[in-house]
Amino acid sequence: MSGVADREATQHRDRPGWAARAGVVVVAAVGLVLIVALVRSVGDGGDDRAASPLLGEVVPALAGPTLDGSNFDIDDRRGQWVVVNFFASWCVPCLQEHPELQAFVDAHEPIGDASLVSVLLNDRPEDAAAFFAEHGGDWPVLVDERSEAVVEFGVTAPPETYLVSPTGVVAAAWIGQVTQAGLDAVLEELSGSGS
Amino acid sequence: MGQRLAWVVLAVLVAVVMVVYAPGDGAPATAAERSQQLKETTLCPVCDGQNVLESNAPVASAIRAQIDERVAAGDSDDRIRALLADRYGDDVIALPPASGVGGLVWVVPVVALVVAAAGLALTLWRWRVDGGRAVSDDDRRLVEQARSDRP
Amino acid sequence: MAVLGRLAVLVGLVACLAGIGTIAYGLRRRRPAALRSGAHYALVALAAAVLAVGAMEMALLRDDFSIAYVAENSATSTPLMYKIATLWAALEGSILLWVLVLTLYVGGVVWWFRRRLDDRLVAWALLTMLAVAAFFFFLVAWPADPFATLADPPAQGPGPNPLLQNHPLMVIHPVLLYVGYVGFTVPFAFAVAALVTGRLGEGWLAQTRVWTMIAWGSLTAGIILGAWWSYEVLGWGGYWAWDPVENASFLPWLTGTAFIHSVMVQERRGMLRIWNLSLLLATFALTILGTFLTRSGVLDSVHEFTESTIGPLLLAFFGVVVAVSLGLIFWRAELLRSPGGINSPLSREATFLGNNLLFTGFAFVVLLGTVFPLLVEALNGDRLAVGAPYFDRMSMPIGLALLALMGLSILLPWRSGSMGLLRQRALIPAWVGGLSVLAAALLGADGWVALLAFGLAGFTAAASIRQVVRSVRRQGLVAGLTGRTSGGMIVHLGVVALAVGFVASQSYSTQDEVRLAVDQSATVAGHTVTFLGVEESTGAGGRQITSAAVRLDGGAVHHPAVTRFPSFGTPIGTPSVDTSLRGDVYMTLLDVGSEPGDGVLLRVIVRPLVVWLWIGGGLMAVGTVLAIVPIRRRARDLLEQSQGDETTVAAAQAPEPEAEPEPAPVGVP
Repeated sequence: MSGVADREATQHRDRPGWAARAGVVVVAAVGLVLIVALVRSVGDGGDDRAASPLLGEVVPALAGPTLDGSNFDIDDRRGQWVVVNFFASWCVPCLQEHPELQAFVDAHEPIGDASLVSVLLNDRPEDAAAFFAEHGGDWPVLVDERSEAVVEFGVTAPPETYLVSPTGVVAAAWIGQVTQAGLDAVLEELSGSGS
Repeated sequence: MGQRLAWVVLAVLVAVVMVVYAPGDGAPATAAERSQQLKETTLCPVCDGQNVLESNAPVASAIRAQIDERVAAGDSDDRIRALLADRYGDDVIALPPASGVGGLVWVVPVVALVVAAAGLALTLWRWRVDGGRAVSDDDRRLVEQARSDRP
Repeated sequence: MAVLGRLAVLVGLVACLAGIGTIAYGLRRRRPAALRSGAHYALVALAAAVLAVGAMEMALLRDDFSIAYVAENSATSTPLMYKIATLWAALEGSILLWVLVLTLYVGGVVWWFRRRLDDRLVAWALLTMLAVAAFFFFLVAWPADPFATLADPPAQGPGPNPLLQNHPLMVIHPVLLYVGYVGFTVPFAFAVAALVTGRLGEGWLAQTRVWTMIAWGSLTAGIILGAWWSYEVLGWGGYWAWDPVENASFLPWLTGTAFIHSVMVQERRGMLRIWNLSLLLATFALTILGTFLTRSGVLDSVHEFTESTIGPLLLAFFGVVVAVSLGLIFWRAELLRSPGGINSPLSREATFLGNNLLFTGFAFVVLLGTVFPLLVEALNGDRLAVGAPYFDRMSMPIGLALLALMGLSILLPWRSGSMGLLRQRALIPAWVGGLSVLAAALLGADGWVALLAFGLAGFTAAASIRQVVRSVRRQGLVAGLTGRTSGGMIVHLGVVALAVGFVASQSYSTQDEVRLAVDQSATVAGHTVTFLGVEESTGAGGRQITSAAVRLDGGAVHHPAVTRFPSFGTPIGTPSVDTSLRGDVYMTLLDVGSEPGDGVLLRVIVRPLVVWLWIGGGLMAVGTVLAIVPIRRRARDLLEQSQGDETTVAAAQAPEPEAEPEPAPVGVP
């Protein structure tokens, strides 16, 4: 039906027809780019968090009042490994890892090669104090009222734990619960390489 | 004449009102305003696209507190954003960057606008010049074809 | 129940395929009888869909936890209204709803065109609709099967997400949105049919106009109700966040709105055919893209459904739709020549062309911003976010231009106007605009953009009212208020109200967080809130409500609350809103304090003119209904008229004596 019209029209390079076709090609190209990008995104498994940007960097300033009123400064701990644990009393995995942290402290305090400091994330000091009263643990707990430490370390949710070397460099990071064994393993590995 | 006067008076009225009242806009001045704007343009890293002002997540609360503190301490907007982007990733800054690949999202619409405006002007000019009334042989042939093809 | 549902779905799928086959056969062999019976398969598919939905609702109402969907999304304690709404609370059910709405439309089309089922145009359209229906039936039959059963049914389910059982709008908004989305399948199918059969005259447009208006009106209402729902429920006092899912619903609305204006040019002058076809095909493609974005998990959103395997399938379908659309336009390109051109930039045709460009540009920008993070990450792995500030900044000039153009196009005549004519007609509306700017400034507004917006709003409102007044004077009250033009003017008034509400609430909101002890007060933006005390209560479905009684401005007591649902750990906030024409005071309870002596932490947001948004939305809905109502009568006349009249190119009319923007007497209302 339109075959004849087709041929004749294209022979005469009908402007609207030609323009429309060019438009179609452009849109098709754009559409193709869009679809390819979408296909590649569907393949992705979703949100994969990049490794902490602090690894290998000098530890951010970590100083301030603790729960029991004294002052803490990580620079005072130069020369030993420091485990920085971000925590909140309302956080269920934190409760689960608490005995592990206690065990870690008990093991390393006599030796004096590693120590632990907890940092509160969006927690009221009274609630945290009640937590420690109930579950034990007498290592320093930084109140971090203005959330400076939280943001400096780029913490998104408790629990998160960072390992700082004796020279003040962030050496390892864990997102989620830790175990004493896990901490010790990494500690040994990094000490062994002489850093 | 009366109509022209009416238009002139209107123009003057609007101009006066605008000049007097319009410059309420401006870069946010007070610390509170700066803080607010920073919070509105920083996304919560673990929420589904909410900014830290809207979100109730603990980390959003932490970031809000830090924005307040740093604005009070006198840090510039760029510095605060740079820190947050460094720690939480570039995708917590709600405004795409002005340069690089990311800047394309600003450039492309402007380019498209220019092209579209030019295209519109050209089309209107061409149609006006052509008048669109001349019937070409192609048109006649097309109509004949359609007529003869009708079922 | 599950067996019945599954069976119904399969019957539906088979019916669609049978319908496609029969119609294809009928078209190929030119057998009208086959075309008619093919259409009847559509009715079978409709019955199957109704049965399947009925089975699912029965299962939900009976708490049949042997069906996985019910077990995952419902609970015995869920209130009745929300149990019914659980059908569309999660992915599989929502696709089932899509199937139901689609088959209802197909059935409607079969009935509407029942005397013309052997017309090739109608046949091709039905074939296309059945193909789309078959795809969605397939999704429900296999990857998104809502009737999957559990070997070991639990005794209780978690119930729908708390945010989905907090507000009655949950029952209405999704349904309306789907009626809108899915409704565009009808004009799309007819566009495809027109391209395939080569019958590209204006007949198909007129015949589908009612359907297009119903779809557009529902989509508009659905989007606005969605915004209202977000506002009432989510707790941050906002109603539009340029969230990917919101954008997904907005994109087809933009191209759809351009279409319903641009078709008027085609009806009168036969021009802009390629534009119209492209806009229509794009609208449908965007509904599929939107469905994909919402259900594939590629973009973060508070609104999104869970990820699933249907993502790639929807993307593939989108690709097919785009390929078919582009291919058809490419093939028929030279048949789409228009007989005339736009005579003058000061004509309504020219403003509609400008309108097309603005709306398309807007859609392009929104689409670009929404998928840009994906594009960049696919390109070089960088992650960046394109958030609300980008869209706000981009939409501002476009919105202002649209507002201005809206007013101008009402004032300009068809064919060609002149500066003199425009000056004469625009004088009063322009003065109204100027006075609006003054009034706004005196009421406290400031800022270039806001003042300009208020001025343009006044201008456009005056132009619209002028048109309605002329219509009523000419035709009497009832006839003057109904019909496409007047209905359209009322829709425009709604848009103006919406624009005013939007600009005011975006520009002049104040927010503060206050910690109050009992009987303590605080003032935010001139409103005083006094905390009276905390109350605990139990609500429907076993939910625990902790609310704070707050007295506002020494008057009414409001109860912003925090609600804890039985099977969900995190409590959700239930804000309390005091609404008035002048503005809203929006209160959220952030923290009740653990000790009895502690105060409560309240977030108080004062937003001016928010209710104007909903009023504007209501006006748009009313206007749409008014625009459709008389058409049914005239469309039937048109149907009989245009029986053999397919290649009619709308004859260029002689310029009317007054060149007034009145409905043209060409048989098309």
